[in-house]
Order: sequence, then C-alpha cells, then structure tokens
Amino acid sequence: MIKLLYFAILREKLGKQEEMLEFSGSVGELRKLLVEREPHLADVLKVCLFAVNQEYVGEDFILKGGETVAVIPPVSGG
Amino acid sequence: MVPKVYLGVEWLGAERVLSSYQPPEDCGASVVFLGVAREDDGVQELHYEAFPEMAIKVMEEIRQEALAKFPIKEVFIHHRLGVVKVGEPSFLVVTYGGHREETFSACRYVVDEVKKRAPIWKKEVYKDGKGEWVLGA
Repeated sequence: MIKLLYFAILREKLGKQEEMLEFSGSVGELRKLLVEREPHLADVLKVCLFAVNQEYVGEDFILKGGETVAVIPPVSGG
Repeated sequence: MVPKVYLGVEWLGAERVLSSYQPPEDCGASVVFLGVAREDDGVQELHYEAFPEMAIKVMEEIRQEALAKFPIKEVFIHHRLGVVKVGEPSFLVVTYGGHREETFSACRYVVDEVKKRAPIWKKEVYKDGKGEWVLGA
C-alpha cells in the first residue's frame, strides 16, 4: 500500500486530499495507472511531478509500499 | 522573532522582516522583492495552497543554495497562504550582502527558484466567484 496526497486542482477535481492505494512499481507506472483511472485528468497527471518523503523523484524511482507519495501539479507560487 | 523561512496565512510584512534583522557592518546592500496579487482579466483574489511541510523544506534548501552560491550574508523567504486580494502582497524575498550586485543576483535566484520548485499553487478567483488553478510558474 502507498499513501497518495493530492493538492490544488487534483484535490478539487478528485474530491479528496489523500487515499491509500495497493501499488508497487515505478513512479512512471504509477502515473500511467492514475491516467488510466482518471482519464479526464490526463492532461494534468501527465505533467505532474511526484515526491516521496517530501523529495522530488524521477520516473524510475521504485515504490515498494509504505511510502507517502505526493502528486504535485505544476507549481504556481509567488 | 521573525523566521527566515515562513509559510502561513498570517502575513508578517516587509517592515517586520527588515526591522528584525541587524545586518553586519560589512553589509552594504539589502534587496527586497515583494510579489503582489495582480488584477488580470477580472481576477479579484488569489487562493494559495501548499504542501506545507515540503514547501518549507524546499524554501530552506533554496535559501541555503543562495547563501552558498553568492557572497551574501542573509536571506529571508516568506510566502503567504489562503486568500490574497488584488493589491495585497503574497511573496517576500529579502537578501543582504556586501554589495548590490551579488545581493540583486541572489534575490533574483531565490525568487525564480521558489516559483519553480516550491509546492505552492494559486487559484485565480473572479468577481463571479468562479476560479481557475494556475498550472506552472
């Protein structure tokens, strides 16, 4: 199981801030799974970054289970 | 005590930051960047949201990078969350250095990197109450 955190546009459109998901595999595979599950959010999900334990990670990063994974839409602070 | 890195609903303001810090005597420059909510095509408010724990961490990393990259003395980075009305400030970076050149460069670096990397988002909210998330800096 991993814990997913959603923010901003994703939090609003999905109507939730977090969820538990049965998943292990790469961040790239997680992105693919989320796009398949939420095709109406594909445009945003394709450009999101992912952070594990509050650090940005790449597509090849392997999630073994137990991680908290933040799905980070393109940022717009300032 | 005014924190060097701050993220929150309450706005501490530039004056409080400036009066909180006594720069060393070899410090000849201070640069203040203030980001203000802009009226763009009927925008009335900006709603800011963050992943606060990570945003604070990223802001502190950027502060440390600026202190390492440029020969400067101190950096303050403050960002507001929640509702910010047009004309109100949302983002403050203050750098202190020996001379203007490195102090301007460091301020610019911090502003650009925070906008690029900190997990903070703004939603533009219009007069009719409808809003749109801004995607990307």
